[in-house]
Amino acid sequence: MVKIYYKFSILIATYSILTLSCQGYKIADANSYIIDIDKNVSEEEFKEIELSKYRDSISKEMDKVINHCSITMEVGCPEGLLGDFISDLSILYIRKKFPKNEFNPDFCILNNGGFRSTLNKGSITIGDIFQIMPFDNHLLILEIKGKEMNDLIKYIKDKSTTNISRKSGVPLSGIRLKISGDKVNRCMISNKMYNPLKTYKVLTTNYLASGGDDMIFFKNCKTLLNTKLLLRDVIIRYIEELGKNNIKINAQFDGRVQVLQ
Amino acid sequence: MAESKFSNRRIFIKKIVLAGISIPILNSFSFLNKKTRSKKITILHTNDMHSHIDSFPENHSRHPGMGGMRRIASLVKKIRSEEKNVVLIDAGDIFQGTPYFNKFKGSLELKIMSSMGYIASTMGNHDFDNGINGFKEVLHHANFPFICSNYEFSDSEMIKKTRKYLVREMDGIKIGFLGLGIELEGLVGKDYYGETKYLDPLNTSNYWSNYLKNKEKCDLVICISHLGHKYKNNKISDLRLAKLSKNIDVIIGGHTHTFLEKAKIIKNLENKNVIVNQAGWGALALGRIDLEFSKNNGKSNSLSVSDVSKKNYAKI
Repeated sequence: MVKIYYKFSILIATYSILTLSCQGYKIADANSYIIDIDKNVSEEEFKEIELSKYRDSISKEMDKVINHCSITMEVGCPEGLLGDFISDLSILYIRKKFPKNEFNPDFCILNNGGFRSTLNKGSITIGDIFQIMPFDNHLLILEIKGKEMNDLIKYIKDKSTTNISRKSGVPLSGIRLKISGDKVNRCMISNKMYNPLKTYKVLTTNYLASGGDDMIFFKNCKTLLNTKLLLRDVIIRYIEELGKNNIKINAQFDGRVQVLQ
Repeated sequence: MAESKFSNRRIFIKKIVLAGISIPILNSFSFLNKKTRSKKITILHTNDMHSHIDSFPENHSRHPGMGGMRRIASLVKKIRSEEKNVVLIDAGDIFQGTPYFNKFKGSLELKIMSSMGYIASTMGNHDFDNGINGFKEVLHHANFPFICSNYEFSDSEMIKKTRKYLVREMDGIKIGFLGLGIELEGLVGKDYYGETKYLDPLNTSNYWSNYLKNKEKCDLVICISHLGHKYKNNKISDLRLAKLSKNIDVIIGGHTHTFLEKAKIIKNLENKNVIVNQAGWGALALGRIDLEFSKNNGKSNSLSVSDVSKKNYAKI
């Protein structure tokens, strides 16, 4: 009797252990929210890591006003004022800085994805330029010809005809295109018709030169000159120089990339 | 003497029998009393904070004076005081966007996140902006791991310091994490990511989510993703991954800077619900998912989110 009792109890004990061990948890209910972080939320000070020291050292530099902008400049497709302005100033600045003819770029290509903010009308601070160009990308001059050059023109055509996000469109200087449907009708480089046999000098960033933003055609191109100048520093210095000469910042559309329906 | 031994044994047996019977009985009572037996996990999540430690400047065209990691930190602190089990995670692109990153190379962002008590993050494409070496240099400021399930690093230090998956137990709930990164070619310069290999996110996530759910027996499998929420073509995204998955319960996304009004509920290959969420960018939003857990009744082996109530999905 005792023996049976004993066996039975082991059986039950084993059963209860088994039922316990195979019991995990399952999700019975779920609720989700997206909480907007607006001005009603207080700001943590992070005294333990002395955040205010970091902030002070940065704001001293960032709050400096370097010039004024007469118009709000945004990225755009097929043409945006911000892209026009920055690619134009890049080529002007580099030509001045490296006056030798062998380094004179024929055109400049950048990317709208790299411009993270708008240049607002009004005073321009160094911090504003950091907002627009936070990346530590530097400018390079590459040699490009043949298939790579054809791919580059096709890239501009594709990015200029599909306006799907703020990254659409290509900031360009020194190159003008007329696109009709799926065809490039006219391509002018440095005011001359595009010559498929010619080797061109293109100014761009190291990010794009290494194939960034799908510019894979640059991967096989030879680097002619590494300017070692950060694009952001070039923008700041250019705007600052004009400011010293009391010239306000301005830009206007000039139809450098035209898409005809 | 012999008898007392016998009676002792009898008492012992009685105790076993009682315990054997009472445990299942208690268990069955617990089904009636679900409230006290259920457990709650609160997932808080950020993505694409892009070095926005302070709020956006007052003259910003779209978000004047909004956002900032400092505000998120104080909100997280408040929620921690109200909720017992908070899981704070980030879905990548911590770096790049304010001078803090240019000057301090990401060390400050990682210090702040460590102080906020993040459990894990994954690498976004911009976390490669100072190259693998730049990332490695500041990584020691993070007291939480980076989970990169589908990046195969060639750098030995990166292999050592990042993880393929993570398992954490919280209040008896076993949580498994995996992390998915976006294809680097064409998005990040080759010089920056070096010899890092990108593995197919779908195969990788199937492998690790199966491992976490069925081998590690996790009650909850969370995929931290920097793939992006949705694309027009067939490119892998969080929504596509959810649809083609089997063992993932929650996908916390990033990359596309998507502001959702409410989390999406997607049916997976086995017709179970997957919760997919993303919280914008620039520390302008904090995502929150409250999960109520009950004891699994043992009838089904795999855990599902089939009982998700949609009525309370709302923007607050």
